[in-house]
Amino acid sequence: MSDRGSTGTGRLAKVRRYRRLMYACIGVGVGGFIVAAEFDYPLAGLVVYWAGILGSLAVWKGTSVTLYDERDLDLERRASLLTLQIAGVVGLLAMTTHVVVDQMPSVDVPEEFVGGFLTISALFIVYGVVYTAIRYRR
Amino acid sequence: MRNHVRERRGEADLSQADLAAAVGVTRQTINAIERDRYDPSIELAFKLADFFDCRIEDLFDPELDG
Repeated sequence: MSDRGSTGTGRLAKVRRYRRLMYACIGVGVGGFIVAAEFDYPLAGLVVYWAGILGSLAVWKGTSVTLYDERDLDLERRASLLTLQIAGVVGLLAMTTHVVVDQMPSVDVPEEFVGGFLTISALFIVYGVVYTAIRYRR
Repeated sequence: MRNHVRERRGEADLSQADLAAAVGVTRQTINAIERDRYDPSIELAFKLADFFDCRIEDLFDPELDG
């Protein structure tokens, strides 16, 4: 599919319309889930949620105009890297704090703290696996 | 990396949206390239050079960086 026939401004309006439609689908999905869960219908909420997500994907893949391009991917890469770096610093500080606090007999390390530390550790394990897989494929 | 996309686009009397449509990216990407805030991929640089019927070196100038 091609959209080369459209004028620049017409195409721009289309991009905006489709982007808004994508965000609306996600909004309806997430909002629907929250509302349904609030009224004790979590399964119905899940259906609405997935309908919103799939609707958003359908708009993204179904349109001929470019909604996301190489710059968006570049921004995502940078944001992901920065997030990982922040998680790394937080993880190192958490590990150090955990070891120090653990040595104090009068202080118990909260389970939430340990859970958070384990989550960050798991994130880095997943990163390592994905990185290795990508490296071998390139 | 400095570039002459804005000048070339002005000479061709095109809007950012027109150029974006022609090379298959978003208007924001053209805007970011013109403001030297994003260096395009080789593929996009070739598309832009092809569109303006010039060489990549005529459009992008790493010597002017900084």
